[in-house]
Amino acid sequence: MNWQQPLATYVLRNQLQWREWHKWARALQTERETLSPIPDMGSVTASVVQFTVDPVTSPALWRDRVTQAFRQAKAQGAQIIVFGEDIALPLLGVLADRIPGSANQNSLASLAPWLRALANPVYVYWHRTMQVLAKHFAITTVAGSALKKTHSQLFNQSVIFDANGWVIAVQPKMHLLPLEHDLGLSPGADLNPQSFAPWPLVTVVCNDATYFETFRMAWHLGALLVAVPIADSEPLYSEAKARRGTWARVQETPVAGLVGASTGNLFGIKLTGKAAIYLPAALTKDDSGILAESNSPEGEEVITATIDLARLRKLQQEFAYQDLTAHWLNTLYSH
Amino acid sequence: MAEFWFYDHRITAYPDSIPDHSLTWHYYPSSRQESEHPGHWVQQWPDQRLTVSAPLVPFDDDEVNEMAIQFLWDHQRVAILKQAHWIPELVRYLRFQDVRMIVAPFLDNHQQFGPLWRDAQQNQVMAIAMFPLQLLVPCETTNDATGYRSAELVSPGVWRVKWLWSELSEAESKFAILPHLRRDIYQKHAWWPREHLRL
Repeated sequence: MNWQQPLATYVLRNQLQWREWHKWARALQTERETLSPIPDMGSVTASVVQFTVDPVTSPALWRDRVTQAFRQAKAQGAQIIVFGEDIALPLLGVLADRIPGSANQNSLASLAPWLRALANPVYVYWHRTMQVLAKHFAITTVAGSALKKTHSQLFNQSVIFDANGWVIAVQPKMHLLPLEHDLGLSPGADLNPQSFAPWPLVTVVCNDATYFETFRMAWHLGALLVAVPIADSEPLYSEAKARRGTWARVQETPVAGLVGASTGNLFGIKLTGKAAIYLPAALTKDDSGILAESNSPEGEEVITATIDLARLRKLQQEFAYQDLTAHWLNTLYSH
Repeated sequence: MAEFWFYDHRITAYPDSIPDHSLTWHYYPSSRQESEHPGHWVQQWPDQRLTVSAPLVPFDDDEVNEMAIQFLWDHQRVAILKQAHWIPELVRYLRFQDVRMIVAPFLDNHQQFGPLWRDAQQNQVMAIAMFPLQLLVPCETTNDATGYRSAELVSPGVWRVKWLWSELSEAESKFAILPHLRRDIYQKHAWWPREHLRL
């Protein structure tokens, strides 16, 4: 770290315009009319958000678009909303001209110390904004993911807020991509259950869904719903590559997958991906395993669908390891 | 370069690196109708009908031998899944033992992005599916990124598909999956049934 980075942190805190943010949050609190409803456990209506993460020049612009997504979800009757990965990073756009080489994709490694220095102010802004909005709209919120520096380690972590704005789960990404290793990120140490919430909901982050083990663990923790914020750095969207993630995992493990996607251009990295709700094929009418999916892998959209939890629970009860002798499973991860 | 030749009910594989020892796997279902119900075959699996010629070396001490037969072929481990019951843990286990190709005569491959395709993706192995005949490979190794390589019809009833083993390491270098496994976390959560625990 050189002298420029602490200075940039200081400048960023000013650029985030907290005084203006507090006015906005106070206004929302006084407006709050909806109380969080008592859920019917037979079904749940979920919204997944496809959100453009192009850097913004003012935090209010980003916040207004997030608020708009909440408003749309509420209008569609959502009880759960899921955002995409790295959704807080566009806020660094307020400093973009001050970070050297940030517009150049080849200089990602040089971005590492800057991300370390700037992660926490952006994280706090994202966290508090999502908290206020979750409470205002009374929706259980999987707030996407953001970078967080804890004890000198940098994590890419997702947070779930309940409909009263309380944090009920914090989940750092467990399986990092090589790019994230280069940026100095550390992997999460465990899959955390939520502390208290009406929904059996677990969140994991993006590449965690490449591994069937993640969903097996979530199911073992009692989850019916697994929320996966994603940001795929694929310049050209490929359906097959997209199907390797959450869609494939919910075919193997009987849970519902709620995918919030980030799209757009983030500091020279082109992101494509579809926000979607996936179910085991047996629970969809056309056996496709897709309950709802956005129309395009680019741009913004809010997708809402109702998941039949009773049928999902029944499928989980029927799910078993059949006649397989399972003794070798005990040695599976021992070496 | 290795090649697989598919006859109607027979798989013949020719590794180019061992030209004198071509390998033939024969599997004869009793009737054509059964081929449409691969699950039904499980009951009728007769080991003696699977004919394997040299230079295959079976690994007898394997713990999953009840479910898969492993061979060393063309300097690579190849596993034949013996039944239609499928869980992702099985191919993961085989991959940990350096298996680079799965042959699954009984798994239904009609579903797009079905179980065998998913195994090929998440374990970065080659997989031969029978119904329909296809080679399933990591998406990174196909031009259209679908992970499907169709068999080519060379003469009536004879199909051929080709690959290079080096394609697998190329896929691994483009998208590293296995180095980032979190065995520590998986062991802690141990989701599999415990009643079979061996002391």
